[in-house]
Amino acid sequence: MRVANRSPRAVIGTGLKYVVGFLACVWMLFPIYWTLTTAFKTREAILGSTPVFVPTLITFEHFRTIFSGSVDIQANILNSVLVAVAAVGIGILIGVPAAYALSRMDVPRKGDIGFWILSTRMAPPLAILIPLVGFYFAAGIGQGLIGLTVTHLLITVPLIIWIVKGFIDDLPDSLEESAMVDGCNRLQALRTVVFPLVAPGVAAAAFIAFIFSWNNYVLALYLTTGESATLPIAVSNSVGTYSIQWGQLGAAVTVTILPPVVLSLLIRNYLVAGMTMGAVKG
Amino acid sequence: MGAMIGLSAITERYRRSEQSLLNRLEISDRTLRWLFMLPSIVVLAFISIVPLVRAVWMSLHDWNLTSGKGAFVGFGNYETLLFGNPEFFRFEFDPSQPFEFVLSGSVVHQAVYTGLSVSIEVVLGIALAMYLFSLSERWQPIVRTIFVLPMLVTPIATALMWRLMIDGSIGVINYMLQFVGISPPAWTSSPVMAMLTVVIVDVWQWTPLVILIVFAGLLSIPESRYEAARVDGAPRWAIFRHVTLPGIKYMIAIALVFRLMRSFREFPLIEIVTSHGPGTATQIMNIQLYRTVFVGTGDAGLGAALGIVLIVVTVGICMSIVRRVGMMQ
Amino acid sequence: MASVTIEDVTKMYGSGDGGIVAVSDLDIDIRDGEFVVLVGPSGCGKSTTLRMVAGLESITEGTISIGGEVVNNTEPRDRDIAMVFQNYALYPHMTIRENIGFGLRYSSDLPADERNARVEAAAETMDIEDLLDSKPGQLSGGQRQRVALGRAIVREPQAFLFDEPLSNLDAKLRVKMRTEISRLQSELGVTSIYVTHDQAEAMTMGDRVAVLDGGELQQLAPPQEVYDHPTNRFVAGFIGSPSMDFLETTVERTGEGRILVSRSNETLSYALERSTADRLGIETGSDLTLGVRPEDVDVSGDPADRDRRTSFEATVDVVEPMGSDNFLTLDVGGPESWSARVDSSFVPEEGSQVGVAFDESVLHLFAADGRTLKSKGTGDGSYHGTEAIAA
Repeated sequence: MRVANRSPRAVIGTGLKYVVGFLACVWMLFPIYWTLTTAFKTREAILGSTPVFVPTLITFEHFRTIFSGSVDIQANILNSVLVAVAAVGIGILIGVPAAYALSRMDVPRKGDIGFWILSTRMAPPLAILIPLVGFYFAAGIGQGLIGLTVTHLLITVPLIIWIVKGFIDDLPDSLEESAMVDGCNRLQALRTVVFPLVAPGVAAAAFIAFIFSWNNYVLALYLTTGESATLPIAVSNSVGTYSIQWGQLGAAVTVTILPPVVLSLLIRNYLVAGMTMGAVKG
Repeated sequence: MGAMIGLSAITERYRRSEQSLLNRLEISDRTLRWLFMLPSIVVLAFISIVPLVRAVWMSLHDWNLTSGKGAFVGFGNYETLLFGNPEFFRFEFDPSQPFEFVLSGSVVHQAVYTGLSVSIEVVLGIALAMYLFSLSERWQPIVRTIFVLPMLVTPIATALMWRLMIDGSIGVINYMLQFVGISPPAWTSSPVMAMLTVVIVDVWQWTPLVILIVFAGLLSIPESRYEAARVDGAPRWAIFRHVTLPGIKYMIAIALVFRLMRSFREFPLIEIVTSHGPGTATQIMNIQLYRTVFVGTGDAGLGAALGIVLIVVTVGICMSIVRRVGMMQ
Repeated sequence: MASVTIEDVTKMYGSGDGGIVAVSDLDIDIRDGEFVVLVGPSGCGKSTTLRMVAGLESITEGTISIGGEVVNNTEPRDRDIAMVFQNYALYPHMTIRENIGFGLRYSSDLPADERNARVEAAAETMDIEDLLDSKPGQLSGGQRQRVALGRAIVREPQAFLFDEPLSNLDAKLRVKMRTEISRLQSELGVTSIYVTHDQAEAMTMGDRVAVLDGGELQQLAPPQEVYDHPTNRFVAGFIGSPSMDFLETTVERTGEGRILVSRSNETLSYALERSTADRLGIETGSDLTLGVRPEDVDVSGDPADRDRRTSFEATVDVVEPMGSDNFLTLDVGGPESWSARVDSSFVPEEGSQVGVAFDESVLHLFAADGRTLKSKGTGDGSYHGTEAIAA
């Protein structure tokens, strides 16, 4: 179509579309852009009376400070990784078989069990935390990473069960049946046919669960103290105690959001399924 | 060859053959299903049902986090919460001055915060999803990635980003507002503005989730349905009303469930941006719960009562939507 | 190879009053090397039956034996059977070679090189040697079908089970694969059970056809016998395309004979020889269903030149030229429209009046309960005799 043939209305419409799109993208991106650039700006550029939109002078000083200087968040990163990996690992270990059973096997009151698992994810975890803390102290764990990991299972297990169940539901039954007619028992059919085919789904579920565990703030707020603090706790603690070191804050935020953003983009095709516990297929 | 061997011979061959260990494990489906289910059920029972029952038990007692169980008080904690706790609910009205009344408390803040942010997110999310859907194949993947990004940011980081941008002295948004001649609002120091600020931050973070879900719904509407409507001469609004909207109704319900679920348990976005203030102006139920139990006197009995109320409200609302739209079948 | 015996088999889903009976008291004895087709409308229990033979469904009552051994509690993998699924169930993450060799790997202890030799032999039989190293996703529907068959034959099992294997193919390929499966089966001589809802497949492929409806066996017989001598009205209507023409009638007495009068239109009638009526024990006042195959309907342009007692007038609704012959859809004045298969040179105008006649010898008669009283070519009595075979 030639431009000359377009009606004025169509031209305005197209123009408007670009403007709306541009504004929406700015709205979505600017906070991230601003924080990322702040992490690389010099103190002068950050505190100057005119904001620097495109930093010309780039410094890694803030990253040095948070990794080896006065703040040192390395231990906190390690804590976060430990808790998330453990909670996701256990979640996969116990959640994937449960997902398979719920999807394929003749489990009595299957629907009710499924809904119950879903509802455990809906309940605000703080309400559950009050009595759990009592248990942890009684068990001698108290505040710390073990208690936090156990509590994070509340995040990872239902998530993994429902996401993986969705992926298994999508697989035709006849694949396992064929394998079982062809000489496998159910476990062997699972290993040779089902697992290889749902592996991407399991990976997606693991990544999503990792992100939710990594991002969690409120459980760690009470359950961790001092050196057991996870990254979100450490980052938030750096604010407000005395005058805020904005550059360090920007650097810490950058480090915090990097894993979830990278993982999410890796599983972008499964993101909707993951975020909705399998209710929406991407 | 193999065809000549009878069944018993085949079975015999099995016993002797060097099959993998897995294939020699004879576990019936009846056993296997419980082997598969039980670990998850046990773990989830231990970290959800047992604590829930205990939370109910605690809510019926005077219970302090450090000193432990006190006297049985029945529904005393619930009574205190509903009728004697201005942080939870406060309504003062003098009939002689009908225009000056006080309505506050975490329930009210929760209603305003959740109602406002979730409805803006749903409307904005549908609009932007449709915008995304209208884009050409060249731009769609790029814009989609951009539209998803805020959702991927750790909430605590989101809150800090916004603090950086609305800071009184170095906040870039204030600078931009002044640049176009608007005097910057008191972002976090006036009760009404503080609520609006946390709503804005929430909208920034979570509209992408609605976009993503609704967009998946738009993709699932078959092209032929639009074509049929166009052939029938339906105007654009009618196509939206009769083709698009029915096609994404289910997705909107799902988006609503996940947004409500998150909104009722929100914590870092508010706590970091406004510290639930000024005063308690942006304190929602989840934050009040935290502060009641884990900060200050440690009134676990009252906190448990508040937790039970919060669970009932959240699970009740979410499950009623889930069951109504028949999701997760 | 082996015989497959299904004895008094019942399958119930759920239990108690809420249970659903999927298969009821089924008896089918399949001889060694025989090809039996299970056919019926959806929900008739044919797939459930096949899956019980495979061991994928439990058996509520009765026994299934393969090669004389009861396999009720035998795992599918220990039954030495091969199954071809409707969606082929090829493993998408494995190559065609791995797909075909899968069963050998797990159900035999052949060394790898011998397994591979057999895979290649099977691929050659199915003419898919070139595809051995591709993945299922790269194959067309017809090729996938061939792989699925290859996967079955490589096992050299006691029995082949086919679960509607051709329903995902287009019409032309379906006909081609139909003959191919028949050829394969007769060459290998492996006992086969084939489930389909397509009566054309049932007619062309099976040594014997088992017609099922509502979980019950209606008839088990060679295809031609099922076609010519259906045991009841359901089988008569289900087998054959276009299906049999029916008229619901009541028997009335005329002077010397019996006359079948349409229950919905009194002017519509067909006279029956009295001797026939007596032989069949047809009583005046009883309800009978008259049936006639479309190819046995004799249509002529002039309604007048007919014996009015064994013919009636009809209006031509639609003429469908099929090339070799024409299908007519006729309105005979009853509730159900009739079909007739006529020579391609006979093209009546749509809406015109024609005469419809048929000889008593081609007539099928069904009692009120559906059981056959008389079938085609048996003018002197019912083929099936008087004893009811209908279940």
